[in-house]
Amino acid sequence: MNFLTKKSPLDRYIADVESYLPAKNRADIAEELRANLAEKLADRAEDSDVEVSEESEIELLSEFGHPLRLAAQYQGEERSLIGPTLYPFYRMSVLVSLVISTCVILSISLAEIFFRVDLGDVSSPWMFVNTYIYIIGVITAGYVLTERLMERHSYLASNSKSIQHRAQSRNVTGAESKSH
Amino acid sequence: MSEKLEAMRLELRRGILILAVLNALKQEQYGYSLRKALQVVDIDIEEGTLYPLVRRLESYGLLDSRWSSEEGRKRRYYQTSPKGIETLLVLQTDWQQLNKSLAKILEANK
Repeated sequence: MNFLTKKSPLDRYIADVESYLPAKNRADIAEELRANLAEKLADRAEDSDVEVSEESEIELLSEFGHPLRLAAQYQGEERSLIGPTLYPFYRMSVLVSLVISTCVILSISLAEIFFRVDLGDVSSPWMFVNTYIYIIGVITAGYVLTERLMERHSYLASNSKSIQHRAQSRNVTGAESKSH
Repeated sequence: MSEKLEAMRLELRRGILILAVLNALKQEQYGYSLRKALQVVDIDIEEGTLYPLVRRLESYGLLDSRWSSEEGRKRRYYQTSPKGIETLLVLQTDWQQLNKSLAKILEANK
């Protein structure tokens, strides 16, 4: 009999969500989610006086939406490779480098044609494509690294310190208004 | 427009939900009971938003948590930490200040 081995829709849903979760805390989050969902399911069954069934599980899960969507909510703020603060600079860097490299390659190609200098393979159209891919790759990697470093730094600087600072400045203004 | 409107409403609510959660968890709760407690006071928040939010607040050190199993049921309980209370008070003051200022401005729209 496959009664014991057969997975319920809830089990399958949780396993699906779990597979999309960030590796850290994955099992823990899944277990919590299962506990909350199971309790809601039991609660509902009690309200409408029916037993928990596969149909009621499916109904509940369909309200939750796609497992990927739910899992994405757990990703937090580290979701973007290059955040909105750096993005304008990133775009500018890519644009400028592409323009410069195009000029360089073009002038090399022209030199080859007019002065008949043999520089090997440079003038082939692939040279453009290869250079572009290389430049974009290097710049992207640099910015992703910067983004990560910024994240770590602002994490250290934020929270308790800034809260204390704000609380202090609030006390000062509070004292001033009292003395008036 | 309605999609954009929906996104704007979500954005508007997001920050306030943090206030509601930090406040509600002054008393220890687990995920589903927190959801119900918020519903009682007419704050209807999707579970798919609430549970990840609670995790995030915990990772900031604003909530303490523990696993417990009663009657064979495993539950993960959360409670606002001292640091969370401190944060709540700061956010609360900000919120009340904003609310007061906006009430004055928006009065004219009635």
